Amino acid sequence: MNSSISSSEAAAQHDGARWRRFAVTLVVGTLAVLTGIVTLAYAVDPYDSGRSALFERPGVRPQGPRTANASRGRDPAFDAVVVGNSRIQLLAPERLNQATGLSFVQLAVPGSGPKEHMTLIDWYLRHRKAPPRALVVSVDDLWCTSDPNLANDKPFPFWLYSADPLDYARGLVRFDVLEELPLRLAYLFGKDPERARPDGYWDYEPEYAALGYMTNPEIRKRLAQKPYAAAERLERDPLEGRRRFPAAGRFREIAAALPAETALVLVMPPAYTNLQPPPGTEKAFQDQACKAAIVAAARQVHPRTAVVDWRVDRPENRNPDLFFDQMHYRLPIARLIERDVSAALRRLL
Amino acid sequence: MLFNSFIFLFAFLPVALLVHWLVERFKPDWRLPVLLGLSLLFYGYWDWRFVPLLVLSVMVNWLIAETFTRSGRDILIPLAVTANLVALAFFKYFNFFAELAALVPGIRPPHYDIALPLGISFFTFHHIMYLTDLKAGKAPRYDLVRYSLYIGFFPQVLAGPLVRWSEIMHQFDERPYQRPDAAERFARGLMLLVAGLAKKVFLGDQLADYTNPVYAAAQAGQALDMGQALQGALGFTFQVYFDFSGYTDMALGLALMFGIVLPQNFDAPYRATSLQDFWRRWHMTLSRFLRDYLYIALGGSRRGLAIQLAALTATMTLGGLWHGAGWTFIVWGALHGIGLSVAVLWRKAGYTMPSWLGWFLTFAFFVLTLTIFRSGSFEVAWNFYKGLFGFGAEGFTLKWRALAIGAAISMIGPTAWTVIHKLPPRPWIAALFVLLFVVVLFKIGDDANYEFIYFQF
Repeated sequence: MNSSISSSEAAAQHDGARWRRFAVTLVVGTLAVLTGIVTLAYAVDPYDSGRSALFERPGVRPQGPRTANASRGRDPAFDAVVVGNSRIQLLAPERLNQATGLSFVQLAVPGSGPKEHMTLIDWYLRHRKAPPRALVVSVDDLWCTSDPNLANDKPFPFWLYSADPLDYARGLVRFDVLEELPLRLAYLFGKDPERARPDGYWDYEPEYAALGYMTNPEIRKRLAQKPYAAAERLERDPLEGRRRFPAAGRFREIAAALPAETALVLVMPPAYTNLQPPPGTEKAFQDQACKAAIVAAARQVHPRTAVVDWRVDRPENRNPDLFFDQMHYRLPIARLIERDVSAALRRLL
Repeated sequence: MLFNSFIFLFAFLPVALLVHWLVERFKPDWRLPVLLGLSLLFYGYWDWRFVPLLVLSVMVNWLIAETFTRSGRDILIPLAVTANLVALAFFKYFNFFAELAALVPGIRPPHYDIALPLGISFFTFHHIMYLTDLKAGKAPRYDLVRYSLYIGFFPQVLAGPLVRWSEIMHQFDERPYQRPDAAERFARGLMLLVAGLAKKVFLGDQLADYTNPVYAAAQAGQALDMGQALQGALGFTFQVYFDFSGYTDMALGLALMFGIVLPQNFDAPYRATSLQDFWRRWHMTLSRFLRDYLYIALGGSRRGLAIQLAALTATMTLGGLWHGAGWTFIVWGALHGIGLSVAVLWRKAGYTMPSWLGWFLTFAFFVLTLTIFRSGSFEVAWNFYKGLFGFGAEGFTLKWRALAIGAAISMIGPTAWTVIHKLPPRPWIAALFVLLFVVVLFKIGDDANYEFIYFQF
């Protein structure tokens, strides 16, 4: 009986040792493989963020601006930048260059808000060796939020633009990066790989047109909607002097850090007339206060600031043929905004 | 903190395991207080304001149990059970009952938007199980630390499984890492955690992408074609299984790593060939609770057929209400009660059914009733049914790949629990789990990180 107990004990001990090895293999192996992949990703630098100097080929393969802008934003070829979302995306760097003599990069990211815009401005500024010549910032109504976190429900890779290497390394642990690594290696070692447009221009008219935004009566009907039709008219702003716009405070810090010679142009992008709150509505008071707060925040700390305000009542904003929907204008208006921005820059520079 | 988050997997879990191992090795007397402290830390990470509620709930129930043990006053236990249910009702059902009361002319009850403390549905039932058994003379007295840990042990505090005191209390007094199978338990627990994470992020969350847009369209009043409706209905059927059974695998795996065996909660429910069989395989610990503490208390099967059917329907209806404060949950539960009653009558009449037909009817019944459960309103459910039965929009658009994978794994494949408890400690198996774990971690890193469906109940 004793021998049977001792043999079962020996078996249990043997099993215990095997399971210990198994558990250690699983834990240590996971940590080793994870660390290995993150190290490889750091070295390969999947979005050409400049954190690794192993490979020399500039740029990234064609992809969305959320990730592609890491490469564009640090490109020394550009001494001027446009930042915003789809409501500034149609401004063509080439036309701005022709009109001003500067070299523009478009860092617009559709669906982004002030927090994303300021992150990209910070990224662009951090990667300048010489002071930038111009900064064109789209200030739409998303800047008027009272949320101090400037939250946006759409994802944005803040980790990619972080100044903290650990933050970046943690951000590399995502499935998108696993998928990107082989594509990145193919881009780096391919003979003549397709490259994302360096200046970030994207004319989205053909996409919108293909979706029926100019022809589908159901979609066109949306332009006629009047979201403020029932809004109460007030004599004065019920929250006069008490409105807070956290984006203005954050932007003041960015404007204060700009070199004095950099021209700053704030563009309030157009909205179709029905989307603009009629005077006397609470939304109109909020909009006025917001514009004033952001312009004041910039001008107080950076005098070389100009404003191009298209969020106003003007004939173009009443012409439905110039809009896809209530907030997205078409190329003819883009050309006019380019003209206004160029004129403002010529005055400032 | 979610089990499928970096803060849990890379910070809380390693620190908790290390601290637990140290005290188990060098200060075994501290093990339970340390586990309790870790559990409160875990619970408080969600929202520290709920910690006092959990502590108060434990203290009050424990003091009542103490008083009952000393005085023997029977009335204390029904009072405590009622108080627990009132607390649950206040946090979970206040507005629902207020809206019902508002239907009575002249009554204008207040409306409070109260945050639902996580896990309250689960820890309330834990109190009830213990107190009921204490009154029946089945459960002994426990000290405050042990009782607190029974209620608040972190792997099970948020969404179960519902553990009987008799299943867990004796384990608290063990030296888990002194057992000969300690390493095996730890390794199997880790594998269960990885398998649960994989089920959640590769299957549950992928199916959410199939399901959510269809339900959003139905909620917006859009007509669904038959393919879309099938995609939504089947998608949620598989999603809820992988989400909840994945969560349970994680909970069981984590508990095992801390030396505690928790009860199984799922046993391939989509292979069930009758509704009764289904409820023996689906959320098994809730079914067991409802049977032992509600159905039998309401009369059970020994007082005649009429009482049996009434008890069955009432039990399932209340089980439905437990899932959420809404008529859709109540109707879902009631339908299952009626379905089970019909099955009882069928059996009593001596009829039989081929198992394939039983499986088909059971699965179809679950899918169709789950649509009400998920819809949130009868209008949305009706919109879904119109689509499912060909009275919705024209056409047939169905994304089927994840559905096919979900169906194959849930219906044909063995459960993660079964597989993992048979695996030998071979290096190549460890290597496979390393790869799976790493890919899961990269998946967790993505921006879309979904919470578990059962946290809301």
